[in-house]
Amino acid sequence: MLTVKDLKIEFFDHDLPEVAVKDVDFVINDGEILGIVGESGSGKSMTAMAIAGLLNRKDLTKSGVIDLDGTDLLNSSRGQIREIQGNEIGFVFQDPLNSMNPVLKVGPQVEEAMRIRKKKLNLSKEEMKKIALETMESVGLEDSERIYNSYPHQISGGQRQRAMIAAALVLKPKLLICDEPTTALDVTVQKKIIDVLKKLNKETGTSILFISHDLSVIKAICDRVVVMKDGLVVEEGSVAEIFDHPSKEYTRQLIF
Amino acid sequence: MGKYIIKKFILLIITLIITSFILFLIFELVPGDPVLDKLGTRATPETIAALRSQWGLDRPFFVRYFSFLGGVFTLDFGVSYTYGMNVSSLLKEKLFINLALSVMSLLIVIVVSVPLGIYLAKHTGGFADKLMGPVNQTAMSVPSFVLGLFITFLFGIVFRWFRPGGYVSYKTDFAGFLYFLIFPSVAIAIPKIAMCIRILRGNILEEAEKDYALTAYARGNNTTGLLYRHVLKNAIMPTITFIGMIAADMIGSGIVIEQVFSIPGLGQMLVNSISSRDYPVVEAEVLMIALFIMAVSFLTDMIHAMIDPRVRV
Repeated sequence: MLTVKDLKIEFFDHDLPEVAVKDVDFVINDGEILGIVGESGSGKSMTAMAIAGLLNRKDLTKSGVIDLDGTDLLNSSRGQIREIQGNEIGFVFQDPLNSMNPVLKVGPQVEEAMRIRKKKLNLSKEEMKKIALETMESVGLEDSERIYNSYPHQISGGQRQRAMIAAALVLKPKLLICDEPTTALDVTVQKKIIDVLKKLNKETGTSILFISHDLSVIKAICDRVVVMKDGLVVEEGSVAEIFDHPSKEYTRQLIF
Repeated sequence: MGKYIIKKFILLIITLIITSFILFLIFELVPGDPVLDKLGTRATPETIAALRSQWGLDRPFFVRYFSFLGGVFTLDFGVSYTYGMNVSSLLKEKLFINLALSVMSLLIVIVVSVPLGIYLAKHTGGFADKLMGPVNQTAMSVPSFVLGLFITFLFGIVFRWFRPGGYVSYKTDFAGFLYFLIFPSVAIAIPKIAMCIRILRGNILEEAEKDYALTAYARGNNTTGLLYRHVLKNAIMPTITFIGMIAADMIGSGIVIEQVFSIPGLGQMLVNSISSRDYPVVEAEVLMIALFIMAVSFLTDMIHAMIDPRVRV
């Protein structure tokens, strides 16, 4: 469903071009969980942001192909990209506290992707709330009504990240991109979030692009893995292949 | 929220009491005796004692302080030493003029700087933004009284939009009074507008870089949606705090500006009553100014709490 081909991202640091990501090729199939693993600076987050249409800085140039079911995400207009963001691609960020607006209640933030398309979706306030509550319950927020009416600082870190996942899922996107979604959380909460994502993938068939520097997390959730280093893809394969028979020295170093 | 309001209100009362005490103490400690000042060369021990008991100065410090404090809540500050009139009736009109001037300046600051700050943040690096840099710098560095002179010259003498020195009393013509006040208010407001614009623009740009803004973009927000649904509520807070702080400055600038525009406000009287040691008048004036400042900061605290749930503790 998603094809990334020859992706190259350059930025200009004091007028000198610097390559952040180069020659990145991979495919995400329907219903698959693909992991991208690499240390910080490997370009994994940049790749994710480019797919989600979030790299719009003027000092960046992007080239290559990012194709989501026939739509070229790199060369679409801003309006077309906005239509896809939150609708066909959901994005979950690393730090749930900072990625929530502190002065808005959780509910409106979960609903926002719907509210933005209110006219097109033709949903009433009550219907949007109902969908939001259902989505929140589906990611394991049982106390959904209370959390809906809470402010971000009033709920726990795990609840926040679940709410952020719910916010990314309200419009049932085909692809969910998770950029280090468990890194800012306790180990016990990490496990629960991974379970939520796995369950979601199994029940709805949503494809997931899971980005992490943590190989044990990748191993626990992904079907296939892409290993990145210094903006390049080092190795790609199924979780079993990569973990049991890493062909590249760098991957071996990451594992051990 | 209710709890927060009550807490802030109690704090306001405590601040008021502390301020009134310090104020009263200061005038107790300043050298100079209003009785001797008033009697001058005609002073004899008898007349001194008589006047002292007439003004109630023979009573102990704390008795006088508590009668003053009681007066704070009933707005009865006793009788002026110089004018022999009730202080409240003496100051009522002048206070109203200064308050009107300050409130009008504050309103002008808000009405002009908020939309402009938003506009400039939205069009960063555009022509208006580039032009605004030096304009802002200039507006910030020119003192209000100079602006007052300039406005008098330009709008009073060249354009004849108002008659310089032609103050209109609010009792005879309220609309005319407000119209006349626009010009001094603008003189007070211009430097503050420049500061507010800079603060607001900077904060909007800073907030727009934060993680939650990126999250909002990832949901399909456009720039306008991001600005009004997310960023503005967070970015406006330092500006509100700043507006609360400049309220104090407004009174100070007002006292100078009223001289430039020949407005019969507090300024002249404040200077006169200090030099003639007319303590009831000075104390009432300073306390009223302090009360105004406290009221504005109370108001900004309330607005803060309304916008930011984390403040309401």
